Amino acid sequence: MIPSIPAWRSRRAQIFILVGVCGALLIGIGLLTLLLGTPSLSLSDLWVIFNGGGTSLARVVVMQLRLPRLVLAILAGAMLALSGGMLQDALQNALAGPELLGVSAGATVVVAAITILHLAVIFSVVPWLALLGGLIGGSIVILTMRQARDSMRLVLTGAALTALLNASVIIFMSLGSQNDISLLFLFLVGSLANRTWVHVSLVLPWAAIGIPLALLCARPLNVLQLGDDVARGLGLPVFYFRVLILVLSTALVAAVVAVCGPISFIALLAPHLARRILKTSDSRAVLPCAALIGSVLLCGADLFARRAFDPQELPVGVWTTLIGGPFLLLLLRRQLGTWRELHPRPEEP
Amino acid sequence: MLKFFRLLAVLLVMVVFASCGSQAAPTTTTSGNDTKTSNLTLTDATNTTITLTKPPTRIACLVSLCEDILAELGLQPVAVNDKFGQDPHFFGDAAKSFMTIGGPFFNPNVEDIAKATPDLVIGLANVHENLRDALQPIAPLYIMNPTSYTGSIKYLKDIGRLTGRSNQANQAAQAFMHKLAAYGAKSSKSKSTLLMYGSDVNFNIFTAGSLPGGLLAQVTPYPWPAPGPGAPAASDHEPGAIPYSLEKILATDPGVLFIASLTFTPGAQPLSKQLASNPVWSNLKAVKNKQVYEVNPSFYIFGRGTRSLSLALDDAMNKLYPDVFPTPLS
Repeated sequence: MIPSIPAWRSRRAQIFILVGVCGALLIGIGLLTLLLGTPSLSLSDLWVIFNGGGTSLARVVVMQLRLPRLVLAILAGAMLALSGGMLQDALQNALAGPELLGVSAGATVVVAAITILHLAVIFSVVPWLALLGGLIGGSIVILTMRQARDSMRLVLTGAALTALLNASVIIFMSLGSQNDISLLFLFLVGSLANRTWVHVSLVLPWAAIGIPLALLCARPLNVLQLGDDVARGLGLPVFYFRVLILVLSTALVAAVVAVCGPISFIALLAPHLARRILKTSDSRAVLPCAALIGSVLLCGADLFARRAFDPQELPVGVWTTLIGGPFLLLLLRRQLGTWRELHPRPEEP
Repeated sequence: MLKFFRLLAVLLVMVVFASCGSQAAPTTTTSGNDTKTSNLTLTDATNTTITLTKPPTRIACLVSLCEDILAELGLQPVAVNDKFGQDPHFFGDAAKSFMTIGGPFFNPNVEDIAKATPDLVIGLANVHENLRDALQPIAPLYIMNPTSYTGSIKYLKDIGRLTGRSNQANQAAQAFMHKLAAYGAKSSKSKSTLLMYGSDVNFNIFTAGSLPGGLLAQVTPYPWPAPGPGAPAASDHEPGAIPYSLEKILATDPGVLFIASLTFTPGAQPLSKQLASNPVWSNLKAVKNKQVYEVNPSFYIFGRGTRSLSLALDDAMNKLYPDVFPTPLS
């Protein structure tokens, strides 16, 4: 439901509060990310390091490991959340997410091939090849839109392509040794561990272009939420706009998956949390708030992944799945309830 | 309706009989000689007791450790599912004549195993025990899971006893322990070491609680303690190999890095160069001093047996202390 102008104004306060809370959480988690670990630092230590002082170890750890990891978590969380929010609105499906784009599966196939077949690829090139794989996977789904113009068929096409690519990954896995598979698992689950500025620089251009473009799509997404026929009546080229959303989502997700692996549930969780907290599906409010919530969720989960069993690191994807899994079940339960209300069982004669 | 229940009852009776039959089969093999029976009875890593009627002569190997043990005992496997044995330190070209068991490591082809007509199949814990039912009509399945070099020696002696080659097993075990003690005694223990596998971003390290890590800890400083009881269990396939904090590695700053770079092939840029160009890894003493070595995962990680571990020791000690150990100790 798109609010009237006065309602929109009254909602502004809610948005500002949510943005303020998320901002405060992000600053708090960010500080903890920079301070906790080996070595553990105080705020004054951190200040010294930012001014070029401190021990060599502390400087390297903060400036080359913790800070890029934090920046990457903020960017990746926002990008995944925006992608999920746009897809859910554009496909009018509350469960739509980047996994339907074939991007994650495309990138995973490439990394699986490199890992299992021991291809002579230097480490720094791997994310670029994964990015290429993700873009190819996404492009295939987008091209199939020429045949499948309605959103349900598109969802099914995306699911089918993802299943096909995942089957290829399983074929690779079945050929691999124990350690190959263990390494591939770290990618499959999704992790931010040991990422540096090199990885941030790969994601940054996609974020710089993709995030503003995604936010600009909020208004037409609101129109699309009224239904395809109404949207067409209001002059929105529904088919081409969906293609645009798919291209944009692919661009946002591909870089993240290439660098971090397919981190699950952020794309699903963040937009729904934003809608529930704001009590609106207005994309102008939901998308920016979802981006912030996505960043908070991913930064928080990553801090937990890094510190929970220190010095052992568990991939952040494990924690996002643990949080997101129950949420998905809850969502499905609610959807089933709504469906039953809309389709009451006919009384037996 | 009555017909349906009758049919159901008949089916239930058939299922009960069938399951009774399948449980009874393993306990029917006995030997008249008590001493022989105790020699031919083993309890494996899954606490399953297997009893053979005579020493096995046709052993199918589903795991490299099996090949390692058979090489130590002077035996050859009848079928294998990897190329581990083709290394000259094991069976060399003779291994090419071994029957190949198709299928992936995690799910070897049971038909291929059956074709080899083995009298014993040896596999790895948490990987192959689910084959037990499928292999029941073919041969008993013995599951191994060494978590330390003493565990490897135990399995060597067990298989030695089972195959009637206890002398060879004891000799191999003694030779290994002698070598380990000699390396430990002569080592200056001045260089801290880390054994890991993977790449600059996704990697696992072997803690001192793992089989290869525990071995290295006997001969050189190995400051990577096993995860505490609160930590999630490490992979059962490579006990102790865990994703580890790079911050902690930087703080500990090992002098020598042994890396089983599984994504590396001879055509690629050397790993030491790749790490030297990495803004984080390049800060490690081992990288600065060019003490990064790519190691053979067959010996360090996959072999798990006394011969593999002995070869890993020879290689590691030569790289760690080349002045003291220019050639391997006998």
